[in-house]
Amino acid sequence: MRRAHSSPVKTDIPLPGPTSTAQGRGRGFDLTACQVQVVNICGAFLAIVLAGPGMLLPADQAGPRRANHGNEAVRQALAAKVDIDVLNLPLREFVPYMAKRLGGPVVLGKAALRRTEVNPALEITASFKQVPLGVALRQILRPLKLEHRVVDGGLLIEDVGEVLDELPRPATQSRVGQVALERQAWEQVLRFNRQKAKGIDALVDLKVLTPLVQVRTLLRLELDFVRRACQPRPKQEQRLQDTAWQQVGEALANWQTDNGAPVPSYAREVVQDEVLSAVRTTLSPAQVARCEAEAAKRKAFRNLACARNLLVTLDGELLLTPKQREELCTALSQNWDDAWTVSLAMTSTNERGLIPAVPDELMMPHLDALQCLLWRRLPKTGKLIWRLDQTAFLGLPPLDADDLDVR
Amino acid sequence: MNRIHRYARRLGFAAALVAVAGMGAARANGDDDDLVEIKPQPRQMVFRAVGQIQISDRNIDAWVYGNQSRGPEWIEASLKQRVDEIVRICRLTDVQKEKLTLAGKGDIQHFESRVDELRAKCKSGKIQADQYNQLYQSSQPLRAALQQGLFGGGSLFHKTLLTTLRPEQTALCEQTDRDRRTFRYRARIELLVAQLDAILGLRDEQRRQLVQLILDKTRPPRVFGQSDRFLVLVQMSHLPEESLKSLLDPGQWRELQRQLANAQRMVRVLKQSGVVFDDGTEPDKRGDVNPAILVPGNRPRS
Repeated sequence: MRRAHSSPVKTDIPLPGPTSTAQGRGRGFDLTACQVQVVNICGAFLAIVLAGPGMLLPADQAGPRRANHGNEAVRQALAAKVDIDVLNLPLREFVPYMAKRLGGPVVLGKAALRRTEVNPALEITASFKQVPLGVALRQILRPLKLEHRVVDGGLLIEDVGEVLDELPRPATQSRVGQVALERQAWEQVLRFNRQKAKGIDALVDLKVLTPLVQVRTLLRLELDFVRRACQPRPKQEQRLQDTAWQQVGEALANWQTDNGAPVPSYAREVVQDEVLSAVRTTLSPAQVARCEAEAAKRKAFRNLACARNLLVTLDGELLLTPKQREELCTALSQNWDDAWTVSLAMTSTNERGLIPAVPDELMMPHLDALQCLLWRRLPKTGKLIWRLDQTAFLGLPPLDADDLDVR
Repeated sequence: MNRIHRYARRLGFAAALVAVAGMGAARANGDDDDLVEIKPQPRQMVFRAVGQIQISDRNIDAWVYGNQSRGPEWIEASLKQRVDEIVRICRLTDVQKEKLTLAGKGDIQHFESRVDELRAKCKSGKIQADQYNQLYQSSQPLRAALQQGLFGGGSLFHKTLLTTLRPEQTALCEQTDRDRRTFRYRARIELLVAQLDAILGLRDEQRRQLVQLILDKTRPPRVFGQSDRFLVLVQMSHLPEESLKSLLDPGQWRELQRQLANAQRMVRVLKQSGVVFDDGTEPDKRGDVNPAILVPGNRPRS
């Protein structure tokens, strides 16, 4: 059943500007086969895709690795936390606004609008603070029965298809799905343990595990954290659990990587964001405020701990004064990049801990000339890929027997 | 050209050493002008006939210095930084500074002569793969020495520092060292609590209380290293049960018990590695563990 959305939808975006639209019929097409122009008009980027029917190729026929880099950049942009504040911005202007925030083309499928009966003039109002761009976009598009997909270095907004036209799954069904996943995980564990007992060199094939099963421990721990922070009532807790499972499942469902890993290495951030998002929709404002405050303090503590440990490593090289340590500690913890956290947590106690590529602008104002010289010559590490259990628990996994084996 | 500079520096060092021995005050070459940026150059490994390898100077640099940016000039900059810090803290006289600088240059010279010996061994032309492996292995102690620092305990620099400083200057140096160690130990504890937080889901108040408890009731190691986390966990397992349990919820306490019991496996490794506390004592034996940690079901995992 389809219906027009006439009421303002909660979304955000302040920039005026024209829209970029293109017909992206079908589940995937090769943007690189089209002519894409990004024009800056009145401060907003307009992505125009000129495509004839013959130019739209299925994604699987496009150059195989051509857009991988672009896709990765878009995914990174979607994972970056941003503040979004828009008031009554028409959907057609929202698209170029997103293109600007994303740093790449965003295409709104006209056919998708037709199918969902969404008017491009529909006004969007939304406000997000420090939420991953992708999560915010999903929250904005979901009520319109639209969704975004990364395609060939750009973002394609299209309708969600027939599945979401159905009524939302009742809580009982959601629970059934959850139980099925739990059972599947148990079966994996039992099989694995049986093989281990026989002395067979067995490995659980991570690819056969669903993403949700893989992050099960992470999700359970995060829900425990929320429970301690907010003390929800039993009914609230049940709703929170159902919503969180569903949202995390959705967030990870379409994840794909070149190496076939079913879950992104930053699954911890995804789970935390999605659980917080579920908290916002299921708990009272006071509980939400408590949870957000605790989550913010947790992040601040972690950043400070990481900054201090980085300074321990740097101190061995640069011989910092107490005043420099103090200043740098503040500067680093306030500008800490989550991408540095795991490498630092995993290696900072080594003889020479890995030094993340902290921008010079952050370090050098606090160093003297000789220290600047030494700092510039220190080898820095780029982006490293760690296993999920390392990234999820910062190198100190829980020792619960069941969960350990699932992992 | 570099070799000429090295020999020149060697001569300069010898002359200066004589001058210091004679109560002279020869000036050492410690100017900032020496600190020229090095542009990284690609590694070069020349393969001759099948199975034969020729090792170039750049290979040696890569083996020993690891990264081109950590070459001899970087080491000299490190020495200057170290001397400058001691001058700033202890208000050294010019003569003291000169002695320290010369001693540091002696350490550098000694290290470079070891590198030169390795270079000489590699000049024998084409070699077989097994010889290549042997030479590579013989470069690793040099790399380890560089990573551990050329001016630490046992170095000429360190010995000279001990004999050159007056008691009040030594006290200032020790105070700086204590501050540094305190900062470092706090950082390690906070990182451990952040790691525990990832599995225990602590509230902010719990985190702060836990950090304070560990800071108050445990001791730092004499030498920090890879085992810092386990050393703290082992010490936590010796704390009275109530002091930890009272900070945590039942579920959190259960998981922490598992972690503490698991850390006990590391005691033997810690002792074998020679880890000692700052007062010289060793980590306690397994029998000293708080029995509450080793309740049935919480035995260390094999």
